[in-house]
Amino acid sequence: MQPDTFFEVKSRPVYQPIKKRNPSLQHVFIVAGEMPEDMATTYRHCDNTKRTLILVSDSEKAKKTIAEKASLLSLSATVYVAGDESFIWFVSELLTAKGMLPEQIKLCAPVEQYRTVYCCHCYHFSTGVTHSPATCAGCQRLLAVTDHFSRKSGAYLGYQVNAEDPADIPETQELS
Amino acid sequence: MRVAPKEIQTFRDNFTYSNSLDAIKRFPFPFPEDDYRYSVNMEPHEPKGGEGSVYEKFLDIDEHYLSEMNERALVLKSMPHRCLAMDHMELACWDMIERSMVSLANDYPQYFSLSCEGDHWFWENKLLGINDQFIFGDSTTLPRAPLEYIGRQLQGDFAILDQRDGDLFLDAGIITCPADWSLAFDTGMSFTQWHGPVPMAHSEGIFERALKYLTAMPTGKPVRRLNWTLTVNARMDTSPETYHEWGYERTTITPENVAEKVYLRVELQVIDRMPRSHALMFSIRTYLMSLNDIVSNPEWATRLYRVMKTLPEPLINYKGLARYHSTVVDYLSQFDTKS
Amino acid sequence: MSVDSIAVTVAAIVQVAPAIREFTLLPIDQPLLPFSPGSHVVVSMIDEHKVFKNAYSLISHPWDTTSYRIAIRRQDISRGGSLFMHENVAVGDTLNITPPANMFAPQWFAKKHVLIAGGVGITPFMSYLPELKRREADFELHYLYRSQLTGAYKDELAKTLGARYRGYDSDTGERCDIAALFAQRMLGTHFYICGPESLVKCVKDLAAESGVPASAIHYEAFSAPQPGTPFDIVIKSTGQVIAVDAQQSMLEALEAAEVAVANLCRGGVCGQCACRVDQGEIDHRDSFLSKAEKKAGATVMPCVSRAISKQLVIDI
Repeated sequence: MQPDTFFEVKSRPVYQPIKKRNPSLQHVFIVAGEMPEDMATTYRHCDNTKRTLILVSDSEKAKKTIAEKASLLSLSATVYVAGDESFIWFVSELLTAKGMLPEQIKLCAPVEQYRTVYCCHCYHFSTGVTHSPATCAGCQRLLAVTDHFSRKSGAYLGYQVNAEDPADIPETQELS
Repeated sequence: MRVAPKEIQTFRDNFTYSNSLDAIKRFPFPFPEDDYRYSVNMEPHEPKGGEGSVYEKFLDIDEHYLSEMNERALVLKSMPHRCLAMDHMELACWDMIERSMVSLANDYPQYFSLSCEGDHWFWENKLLGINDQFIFGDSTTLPRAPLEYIGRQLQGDFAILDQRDGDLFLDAGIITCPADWSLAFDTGMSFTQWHGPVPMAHSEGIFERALKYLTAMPTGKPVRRLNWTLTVNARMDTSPETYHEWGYERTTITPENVAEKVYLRVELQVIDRMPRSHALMFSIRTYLMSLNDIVSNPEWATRLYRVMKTLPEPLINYKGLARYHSTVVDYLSQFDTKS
Repeated sequence: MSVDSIAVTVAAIVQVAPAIREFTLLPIDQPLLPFSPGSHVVVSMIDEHKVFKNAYSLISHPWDTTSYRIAIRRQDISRGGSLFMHENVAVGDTLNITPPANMFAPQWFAKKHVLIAGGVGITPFMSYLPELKRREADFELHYLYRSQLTGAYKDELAKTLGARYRGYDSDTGERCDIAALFAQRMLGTHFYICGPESLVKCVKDLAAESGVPASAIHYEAFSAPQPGTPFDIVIKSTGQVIAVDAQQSMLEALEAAEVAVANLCRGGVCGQCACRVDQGEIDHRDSFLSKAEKKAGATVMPCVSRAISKQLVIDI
């Protein structure tokens, strides 16, 4: 398996600063947690008759509300999303399934550095991961957390770090 | 001289797999030079090498057919999600059925036959005892979902790439013998994304060029390239999903067993434009040959030594060879013709 | 990547509109392949010592492998390819075509497809219809034409598509309110335009003003190489000098001199034929290179572009 690699894995998302999409006629802001500065600036620049703010306190519960609201969006709408990485990609996939195009979905760089990790051995998603290796919440295997990211699942690929030699476990490192 | 499919051998547990002398002769040795570097290295998939060559037919059926179909069935039994197709790929899967059945019936009439009365098709696969009839394009008339149905009759893995917005998306596949990648995780990714973990090649613009080339492919002009790695034992299923079962094997290589246990694993990748769906069919046909068998060809022995000796470290790591690479190089050094 | 030729016989010619002729092509020695909606073939027409090559959309049913059909509008002011087809090709003649290639495939994820055809731009949409129907997709077809020249298949379309079809004959004063096409549209609506460059530009501009995302607009503009002043190409590696006459494109001149250059659309949009330029001033006429790339002057699209200088040194 690929061990630590010293280059940028090209599947890892690179986030651009948020800018207002002109001439969109409808701007929807979905925020889980704090509203980042660039999003706040964009929000201020939108006409208040053309903007909506959805504040999310419980990500799970909010998913249903967002799906309902997405059905009411018009073709010229733009949605700006802030939250942790797996939340923003979940919303992005949901909006894409409703017919939104990538240029209409603006994702803010996640503020927190924690990741959701997909265990390729038991298929479980472990949330809030901040270090590698990390213990899989499903099968308890110790997983190497790679930078290979799936937008569909909003998660990074994890594989058993000591599958070759159970005693060969790298030092725990904080993920960036 | 093509060898007929032989009795079932195993790619797991006791590894009864073996290559006949003919299989060794026709093996697609992948190194044209002493230094290995990634390149787009695609060539037209036209017949080459004469009768019995791996490049003679569109799809290669060889002595391992029954063994590989048995292995595929075992993998799908325990992990059915190793074959999946997103809904919008249905037409592309039918394209693949058509392409495969027409070429197999044409190229191996002793094993396969296809007859069509309008869209009523009759298909026989004598090797697996299959005798089916169905309506082309109507998935309800097949005993299994289209991709699984045809994939269980073909050697090698298959991915079907949807082409849209000038990019390619991994939206369907039957992947039971991957060189360490996960279809379940990579499904839906774009060309650049699913190649994300490959070191070195991105900065050289290789994937950009490859994508431009592939998206412009017309129908009827398939292309091919070779990819390679090393595998311990004749293990077909070297997937991330089962890594916890085979990973330890990399620590079991010694100077005494290296020639017998280390296999050169070559993928003959064929890419073909599917006519009705505009998708690309990406076939990954895997050939396994032990170092013992490789070195029976003196030119291959020398070339392989030089390639292994000069392999860059990022590639050694990416291909998972770090633990036994030096043992392989030491063993092969005896075949170097340079003194 | 160059593609092979398929020899076909012209089995029938039908005048489907005052300025449009439909040709039915039958295979000779190779069976025809099915194709995907929006595909085109490049037809080679040989007139004495000149070879014309033009891309034409396939209008036949994509799953029909017994014959292909194309419909060509007669363009009097052009380099002569369409004129040749209208005046010099008869039933029984042999033509060479490339295998189908597709640069205008439907976006199947769309929730709704709005098709806007101008004149002979109806042609790619003809091959969309059977698949749109098979997938039970939601679509509308808006057909802008001038009955004195174009409007091929309008009656058949009106009959088979019913409420999904609207025709606008500008010769009788009917006008399509294009801006209105973008109003009140749901998420996931995609728009497809095929026709003269002026129509494509107009639709794109109005879409942008309405806030429609640019990636929801798909178009195939019928642009063909235009004539220009003659000049010479010099092949850097061999020193070979190839004359490009007024009526010939660079690509055609290279092909006539048996210098193979990969190509696909032959209309300056796909980027396949890009060549590096070592010396000379380029007259860019393509829609592929960026402004910066055109300014840098190091790359040329030989299928449509020409030279301002007397010579262009190509590094191939």
